[in-house]
Amino acid sequence: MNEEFFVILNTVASMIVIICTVLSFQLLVGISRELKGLKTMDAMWKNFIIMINLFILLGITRAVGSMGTIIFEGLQPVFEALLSVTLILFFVFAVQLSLSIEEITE
Amino acid sequence: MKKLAFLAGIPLLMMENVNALEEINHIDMSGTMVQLISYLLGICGAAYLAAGLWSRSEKGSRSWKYLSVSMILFVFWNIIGTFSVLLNVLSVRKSTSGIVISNETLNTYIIIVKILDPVIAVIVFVILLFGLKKIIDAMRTKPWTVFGKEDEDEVKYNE
Repeated sequence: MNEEFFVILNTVASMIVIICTVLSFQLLVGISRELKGLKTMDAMWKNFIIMINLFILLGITRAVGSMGTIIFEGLQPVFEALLSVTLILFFVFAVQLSLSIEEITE
Repeated sequence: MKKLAFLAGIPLLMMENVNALEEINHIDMSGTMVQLISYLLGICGAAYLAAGLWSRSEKGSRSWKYLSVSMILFVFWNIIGTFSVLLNVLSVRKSTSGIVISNETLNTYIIIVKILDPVIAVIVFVILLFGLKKIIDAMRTKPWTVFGKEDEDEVKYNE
């Protein structure tokens, strides 16, 4: 298949991902301000906000990485390393969040 | 003394061999291993979280289901990432690995992975945004419905 097709597909996908992540971040900022005001924010919400923030970071890293490597291929290992670190952090907070969700469900 | 000098030289020789191997294959194996492990950890974390969110949605608000679906798709995204790493290694080390696979088949797999990767990424983040919006709306308007089912009497009263 044509290489240009993949470049266009990746760029369009990255732009949509960036828009979605920015909108999600805005929503999250709004709700975290309200939850802070309550002063009763429990561990579950804290983990939830951290986990979603990491997820957003993951999306932005991937999107910027795939667009950046089109311009300069030398950036690829840097973005791959960033993606790996974010994925490992995501794993830690995903486990923490599901443990705190389980506590609430019980 | 000569024996000792030889023993001290073994790690250096091994390092040289590894470097030579990496240069021959044009691939950084340590980086690839870190990438593979992080993708596998991502799969485990996302699957565990998806299960937790799904059970939460059955006892509380249905909005949690959107996040759960987003996490399930994220698992698929990580699987595709793992395949892409493996295919990259295979395409570089095909001659030395001893795996018999034609170039056409390998290219077809790479094309499928290259198409699926951005498509799934978009779906994951659109569903995440939608689910997050629903949960936050519920938190603002009816916070009691986020963690518990709304009683039928309450629904009738609200209507």
